[in-house]
Amino acid sequence: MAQLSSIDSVVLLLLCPITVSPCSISSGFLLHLRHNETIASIKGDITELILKSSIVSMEQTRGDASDIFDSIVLLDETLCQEGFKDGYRDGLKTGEEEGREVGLKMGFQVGEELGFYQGCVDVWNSVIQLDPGSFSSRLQKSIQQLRDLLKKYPLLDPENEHVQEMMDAIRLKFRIISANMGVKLEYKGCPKSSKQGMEDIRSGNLRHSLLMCHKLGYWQIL
Amino acid sequence: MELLDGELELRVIQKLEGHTDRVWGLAWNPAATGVTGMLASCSGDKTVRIWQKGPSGSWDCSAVLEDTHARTVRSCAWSPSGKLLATASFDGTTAVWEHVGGEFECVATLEGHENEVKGVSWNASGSLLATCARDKTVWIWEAQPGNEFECVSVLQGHTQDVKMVQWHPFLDVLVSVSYDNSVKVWTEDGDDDWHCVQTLGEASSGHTSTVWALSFNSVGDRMVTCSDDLTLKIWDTSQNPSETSGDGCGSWSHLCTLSGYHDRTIFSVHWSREGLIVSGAADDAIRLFTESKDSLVDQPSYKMLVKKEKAHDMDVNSVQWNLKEPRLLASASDDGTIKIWELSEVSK
Repeated sequence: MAQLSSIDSVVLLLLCPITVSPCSISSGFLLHLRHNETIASIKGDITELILKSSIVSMEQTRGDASDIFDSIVLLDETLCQEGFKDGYRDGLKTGEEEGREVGLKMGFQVGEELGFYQGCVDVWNSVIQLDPGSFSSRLQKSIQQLRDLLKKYPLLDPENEHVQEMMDAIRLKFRIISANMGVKLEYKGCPKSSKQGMEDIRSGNLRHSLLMCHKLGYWQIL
Repeated sequence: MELLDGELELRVIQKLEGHTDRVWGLAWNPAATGVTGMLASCSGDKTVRIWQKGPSGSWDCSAVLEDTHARTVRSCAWSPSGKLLATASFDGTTAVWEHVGGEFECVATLEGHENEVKGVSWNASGSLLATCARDKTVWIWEAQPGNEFECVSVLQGHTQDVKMVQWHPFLDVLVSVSYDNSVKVWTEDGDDDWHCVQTLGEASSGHTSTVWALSFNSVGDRMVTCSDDLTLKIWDTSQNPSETSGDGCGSWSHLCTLSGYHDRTIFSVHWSREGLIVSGAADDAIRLFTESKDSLVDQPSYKMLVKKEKAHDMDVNSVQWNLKEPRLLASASDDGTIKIWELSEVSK
């Protein structure tokens, strides 16, 4: 490669003040590239060259500047998106954990209550076997109806939309049987007014979940 | 009914005092055992008092049924034989008392409702007892030998507090009225299967607010209901609901509405053997209505005969005609008193 002649140095020097300092290197580089052409042509096209390199360097200046400003201007949005992603991921995890907790609790409660009724039905049926006259025919029929209702309850299908109706029917049948037996049998775990109790549990957990999510910004979960 | 020519008025025969809280309900004993009058009254003071006409002609309290209910006794009803008295209480229970020679003994306690029991009624034969409560259900009990009662069915359908239940005078048809503005008719489909055959709601020209009470006429082909919407409504109940083809539309229909006569809630209504309707309202007044023989109108119409203002010092909770003497009327009020009235012509 030919050495930089004095003219090249002059051009370099000339160009320096025109262009922005970060780009002077690139323009210098450009000039250097051009060095392979004859010096004469450089000399002849020096204006054109200066202009061209200026344009190129200006474009590059603009590109670099907007990159920098981008990272400032979009900082808010970027961080927001990052935060959202984090929150969503964490929310998914917490939601699953809470869901598992609620599911376990509800499942246990339902199972416990149904077990209680089944136990009662089994004892009553044993009594009927030992002494058929102990209960009136109407009472015996009610006991069989309760047994059928318990059998029909979909234990393995908690998302069945009829479970609440079925549970209400079971509770009502149990109340009628206890009323007819003249005994105050009550399943202690069951809230006094069944529907209100369920609503309380559901709304209570919903509220709790809402509070947690609000705190941690897990809006998307709900 | 032999029409009285002159102007009618309600005259106080006697004021019965004794209860220490508001009197909610009244029931005349239907027994034809020669007793001219035995009246049961139930009150917020948790007791039931029995009043009888003594030899001197005045009414005295012959018995106080206490220490059984833990809260207000809201309603009472005699069985058709007159031997049993059922009392419904806010404590959730219904007690059945047996009347043996002047003494009353609690022979059964019916439990089952979740909260305050509002009404109780015996059917025509005395074999069934219906109770209704704030838990929106109506329970039907069957009387068994030995004063045992067995729950036959629990009727669900009302969406609010059920205020009163009443059986048809001779059919085993039950009517219930509720805070949900509707009147429901229930019959049995054989073998303890009771269900609602008709709902008389706003769509069937029904009431637009709480329905407080109902009463059948002596024949059973008419029924009157009273409501918080300040009207009385007369219904045609001549068809037997058990015999309808079950297409859901029901056989009873609205006949007439009496509006403009009351300006406060009407709490009680009762139809006498002679066709007079008495109403007791929150404006402390008692009003009497009768069917007017207006030939101009196709539909039956009713007119007000008497308005007794300030019948009591407070809300009139219950009005009941005596079942033997058609001119004798009893009224109970929030002021804790009961008044016995006589309908007579104004002496000129």
